[in-house]
Amino acid sequence: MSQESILQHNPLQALMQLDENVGTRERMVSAIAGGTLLALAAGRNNWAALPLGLLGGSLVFRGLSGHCEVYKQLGVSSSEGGHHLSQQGGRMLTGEVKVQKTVTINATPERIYSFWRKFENLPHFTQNLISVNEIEPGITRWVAYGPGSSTITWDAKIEEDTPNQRISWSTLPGSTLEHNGSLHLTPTSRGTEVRVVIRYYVPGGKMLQNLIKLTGDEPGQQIDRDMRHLKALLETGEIPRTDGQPTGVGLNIADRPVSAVEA
Amino acid sequence: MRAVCYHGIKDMRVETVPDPFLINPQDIILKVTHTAICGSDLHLYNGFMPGMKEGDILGHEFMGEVVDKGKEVTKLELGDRVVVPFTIACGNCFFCEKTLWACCDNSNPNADIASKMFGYSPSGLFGYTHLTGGYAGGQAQFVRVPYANVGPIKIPSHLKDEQVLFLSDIFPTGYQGAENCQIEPGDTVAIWGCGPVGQFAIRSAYMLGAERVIAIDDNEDRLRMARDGGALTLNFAEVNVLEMLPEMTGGRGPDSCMDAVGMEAHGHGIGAIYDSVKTKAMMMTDKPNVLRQCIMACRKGGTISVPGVYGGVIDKIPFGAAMNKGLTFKMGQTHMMRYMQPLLEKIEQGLIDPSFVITHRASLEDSPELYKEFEKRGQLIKTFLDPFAPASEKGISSKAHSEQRQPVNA
Repeated sequence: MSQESILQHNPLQALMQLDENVGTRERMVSAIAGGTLLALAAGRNNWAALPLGLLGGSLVFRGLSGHCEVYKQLGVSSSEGGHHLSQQGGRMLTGEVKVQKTVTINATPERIYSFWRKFENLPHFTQNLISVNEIEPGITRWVAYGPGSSTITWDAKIEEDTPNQRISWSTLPGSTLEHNGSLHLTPTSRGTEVRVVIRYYVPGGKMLQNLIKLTGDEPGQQIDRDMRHLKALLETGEIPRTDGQPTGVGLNIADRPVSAVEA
Repeated sequence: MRAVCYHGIKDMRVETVPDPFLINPQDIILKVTHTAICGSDLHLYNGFMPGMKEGDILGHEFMGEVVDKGKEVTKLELGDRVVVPFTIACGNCFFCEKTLWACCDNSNPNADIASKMFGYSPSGLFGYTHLTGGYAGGQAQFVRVPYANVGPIKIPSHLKDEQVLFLSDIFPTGYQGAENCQIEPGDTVAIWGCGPVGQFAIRSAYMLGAERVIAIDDNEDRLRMARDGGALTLNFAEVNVLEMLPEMTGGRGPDSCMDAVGMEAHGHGIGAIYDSVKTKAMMMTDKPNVLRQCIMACRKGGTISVPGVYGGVIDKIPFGAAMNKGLTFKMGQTHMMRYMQPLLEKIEQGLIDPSFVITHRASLEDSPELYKEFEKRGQLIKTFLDPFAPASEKGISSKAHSEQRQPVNA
């Protein structure tokens, strides 16, 4: 059994019903450092043995369990885990996946509504849409990047269209990725609160793959980024980018998915 | 072009890399006339800030000449000579409108990572980690500057580079640190750390009406420079700071205490050893020894100001002392655009000449050696680098040598 798999199938974690919130590499370091301290403590017979031993023991525990109480209290985590679609296929197969995101945009509801209502604008701030067109009044055709080098196309019907307040749409029957979505605009003293809710209905198989491609392995992550980009575009006229900027090894970091950038 | 690139802990290299180009419509490209190494670059050098990648171009204190501009840039022309703030701000979000520029909502392309770590993302920064955008920095011959209508300020031609370069970070940062002390007439301000930010904080505290500044460090060169700025000084290697400060303030404690050191505090005693062990075991990211002292030393109802950079998690903070003494905490990256123009005017009026802080004038090519020297906290307090000059032949460590190399200002 490799180190990786020991850390993944974690009896200690299961036994004590602990959440994993320490990353794999940090766990290894923690366990090794703890073991070293324990060894040091065992070889001593003076005042330092007890604190060294306690510190070492807690580090070993943290390494083996993947659970750090301090991190838990702070609400932080260095774990790469989380709720990955691809790892929980069983639970996913017949489910509904809801993604939702709210941002406040320093612009009027009128401006945001008219930008979104022109569905052709959506690919300007979304990572995975190639095009959206209103092919006949109230019917939109969406083209997105699919698994591999394929594309996914679906048609959606605009269900509700209340200017400056709300737009909702749902896919037509027989769609490759059945879902419905809605945009809600609420003016406040801090700007317009913009909420997007999308519900995907996933029978599994091909549709699950399509969903993973469209939303990323972690649903919600992609919409976070898309909504931030919508906000930046409407507030500043551009989306912050570093694509292609020079680096010392000729490696373009910005082209890599965000999840690959180590935090 | 030539640029200083990060290649791992304590491994900075000057390399030939592609020139930057315009990416967004509000971008400019700057030909860098002078640049510097900041104390906060040492946090990267020593591996204390997460999110660095091999090849990242460093540097966030730079100035230069506009050589290219995007079509939405309205406030600058080609050939303009500008200083660029290290924080990147869009100018249009809620936070920018409140002049909380370092909290800009839009300028960090990696806001999702920063949000996971900090709850919400601060602004983008030049030449800092990918947490704050990973923007290529200005320890280079050319640099791309986004949102050019918002950050860069034009410099009158009669001012030299060495007088204005430090408007890019350390002068405004020291000034905001002093402003955050909420100084009232008669106040005594204690400042931990006599690095470049501490030096400007000392002078700014006097500008803002402090009666007395007590500066704390263990480096005699830095303490001498602090005394030149009018501060009383304490060498923490020689005296017990927590005993001396009450003695010097009639038993009351300083009215405000400033941590101008941040997450890599050196120090003595059990606290410093504890921090060293914990950070090395990766159980804590930052070493908060100075912050602890600030809290303990501060008078009741006083103010703690933190311009020093922290990146992660700290512990054994005497929060009971802070709460029960009713302390106020003020901190943050510098809201640069609030301060650059007013401080430029102070320089023009001759109220301060920021070039006092420069100890080493050199070429960008000398940077790896300068990082090493800076990290040792020896004679080097502040660098002033020419990105187009050839490497110094005899190395940079000799101060006499560095003084021979008087720079030619653009």
